[in-house]
Amino acid sequence: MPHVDRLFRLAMWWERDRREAEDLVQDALVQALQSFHRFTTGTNCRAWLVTILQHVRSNRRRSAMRRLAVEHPDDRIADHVPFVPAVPQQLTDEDVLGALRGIPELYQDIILLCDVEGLTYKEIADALTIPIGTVMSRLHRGRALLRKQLASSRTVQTDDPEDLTSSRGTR
Amino acid sequence: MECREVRPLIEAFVSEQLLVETTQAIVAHLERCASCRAEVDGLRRMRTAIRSAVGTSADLSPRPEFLSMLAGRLQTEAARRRPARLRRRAWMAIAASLIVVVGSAVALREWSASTLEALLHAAVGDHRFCALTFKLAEPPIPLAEAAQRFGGVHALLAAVEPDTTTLSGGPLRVMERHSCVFEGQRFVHIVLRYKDQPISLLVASNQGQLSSGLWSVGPPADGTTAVTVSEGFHVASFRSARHVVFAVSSLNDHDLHEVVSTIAGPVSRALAGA
Repeated sequence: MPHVDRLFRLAMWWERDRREAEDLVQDALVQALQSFHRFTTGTNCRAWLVTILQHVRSNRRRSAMRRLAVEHPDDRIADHVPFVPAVPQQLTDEDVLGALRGIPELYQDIILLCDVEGLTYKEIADALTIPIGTVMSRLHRGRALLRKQLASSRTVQTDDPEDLTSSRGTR
Repeated sequence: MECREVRPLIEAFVSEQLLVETTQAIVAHLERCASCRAEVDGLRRMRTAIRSAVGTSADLSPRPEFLSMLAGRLQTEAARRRPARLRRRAWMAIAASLIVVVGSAVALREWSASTLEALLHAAVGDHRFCALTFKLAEPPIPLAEAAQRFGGVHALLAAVEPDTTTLSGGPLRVMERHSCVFEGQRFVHIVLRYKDQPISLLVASNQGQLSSGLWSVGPPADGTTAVTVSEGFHVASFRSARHVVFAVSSLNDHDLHEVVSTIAGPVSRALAGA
């Protein structure tokens, strides 16, 4: 069944801990059940559930973490298009998952919601409470970083200052 | 369109976010531009690889024990709330879609009639919003992609054809096949056309929850199909061991029976392999 399996997949990607992911999904679905009267018939139920999941996740993180003055410098569209290598012809699951983990979390989220879950830009914007323009710019940047990760997945990481993974790393 | 106009739109094109007219213009450009085509192919290859890697990762899949526990928790939660505060059909739709994954782990016999009603409503809604008005909230996806994401039944129905395409009232044509979702219920959707009327053949998972008897209005033509009228449409239905099939149309009973009689056999044989 797509909804629970796919919600769990997202939660597990975010939390990297099975118990935490199960709690997250359970809380989100209970909330969904309680607020189903707010769901608009004919709209994308799965996108609505993803939005709830993301909100539960955000609330948990806000209560668990110190507030940091976090700036996302890459939310602005690049003034120039940096060189982006071609996507390798052969891609293993290991390559892809490793490369996806290797880019900053805010880009992972966008790529998961767009390329894996198939949400529209508007649905992603609603789920993450960000403007549609930010969705597009993060997706563009995220895919470019992912391509660089895939291209260098079998080599030693360089000190390229354009490569954010060398400074930010992952979660 | 030229490359300088297409390149800024390639991301959105690959993500299927563009209007039909823009998409068609880009497709026309790609037919004559190898460079843009290579860029699109690369992005699509990466997107497919991401979807496959994440979608099939065992580490990202829920445990059956968790699903059983979750089903119980949701049932308890729903029972705890006063029924007047919930729209019954809405609760059945989400609860049915959430519980289906548990299968026989939860006793659901008392739900049979309600689950069938919810499926019927979803089938009629899908016919209305997908086949007739193209207004589904979530775009349909090809059966090949659905097979990869959701399971083999989509692949089994990709090539099914009616036993005969010439009926008493003229030709019967298969217009389209895809996988689509209405109110949380995913269907394999085959759109046929007969006497200038679209007929939606919608296949949903039974998951063993439905009782063997279906509702009926009037005697079934062949003893295995039932026809009813729902929300202004005529609906014929039949089932296999694990799936229920609805044929929804504005055709009258006789014409709908004629269509169903020529497609039920091939569909049932295909589903027998599921």
